[in-house]
Amino acid sequence: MHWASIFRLSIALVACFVTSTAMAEDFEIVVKVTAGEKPVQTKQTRISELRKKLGAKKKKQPPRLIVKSKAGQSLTVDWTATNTADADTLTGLLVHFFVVKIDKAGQEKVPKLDKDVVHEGILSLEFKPKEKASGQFGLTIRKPGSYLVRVETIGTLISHGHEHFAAIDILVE
Amino acid sequence: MRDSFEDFSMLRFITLLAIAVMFSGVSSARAEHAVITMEVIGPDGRALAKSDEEPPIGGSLPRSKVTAKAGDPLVLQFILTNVYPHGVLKDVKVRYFIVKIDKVGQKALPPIDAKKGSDEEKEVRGKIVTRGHVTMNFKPKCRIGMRLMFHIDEPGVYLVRLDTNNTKADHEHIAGIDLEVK
Repeated sequence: MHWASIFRLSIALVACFVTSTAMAEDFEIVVKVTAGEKPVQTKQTRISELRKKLGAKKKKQPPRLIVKSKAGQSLTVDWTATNTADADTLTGLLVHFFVVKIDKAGQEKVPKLDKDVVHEGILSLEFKPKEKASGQFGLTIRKPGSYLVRVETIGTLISHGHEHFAAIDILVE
Repeated sequence: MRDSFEDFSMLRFITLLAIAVMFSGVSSARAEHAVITMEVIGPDGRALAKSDEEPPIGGSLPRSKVTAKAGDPLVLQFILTNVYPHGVLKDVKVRYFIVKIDKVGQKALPPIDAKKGSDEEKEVRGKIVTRGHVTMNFKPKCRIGMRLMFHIDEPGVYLVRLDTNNTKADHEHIAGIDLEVK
């Protein structure tokens, strides 16, 4: 199967899952958004699990941190993804990160990434125990509104029963 | 118009992923280190860049050029595939940026980094449209894909560039496109 097909399939699968509020212990994602001199950072790596596996109704998410910025202001996003497990090597893992416009800050539904995507990246790699990858990118958003900054794993659902993500909202005024 | 432009960009991104897979297979046989496919897409056209090496400064291949109008919505997307088959290259930084340059085809890079708070910092910042990087251990067949939207208001010539750093080889891999904003 082509990598592109796997990519599309993985994105579609992740989009179908319900997010639980559990915190991950086997993988850590840190996201920091800086607008001006004040960075906002979250280390709350959450996990997404199958609704059927949970056998429960959709749980409400704790609120995401919000960064306020002005239209046209320069923003910087930093992220780090670390396999915190002691023994498990994650093979064929994708680390996917994006900034996309959402209807309102805090909305739980992750929109399809087919429009209003400001920035999107994906890495395909193998994570040995304690190994990490990191990145930084700058962006300038001109269109006022709410935006979701999200860093997530794709590829641990089968092996771990869940995926991992961390997210922050940007409110552009 | 804008939505269809973005849909088109997404399709191009997926297509690039597929192209990268094909290229990685071909290049492995030639023992290359990295294969890059980079594209800048605008409403009036697009330009494609492939892997080059540095030194020499700015690479040896001529850069392709794309023209846009000030304020146009533009998309940069790239796929980099590590096809170095002989082990892990630790802490490789893949850097991408868009910076104003003096003329089309200019090989020398303008300053990209400056000490925070210095006089030079303001000047450097003023020339950079956007920038980003990823740091990771390069293992055989690992890949990086990126897609980002940007606008440029100030007419001029800009370099869209991707490069690797810290591969501990006698060369680094680069790709570049000239963007002329009118």
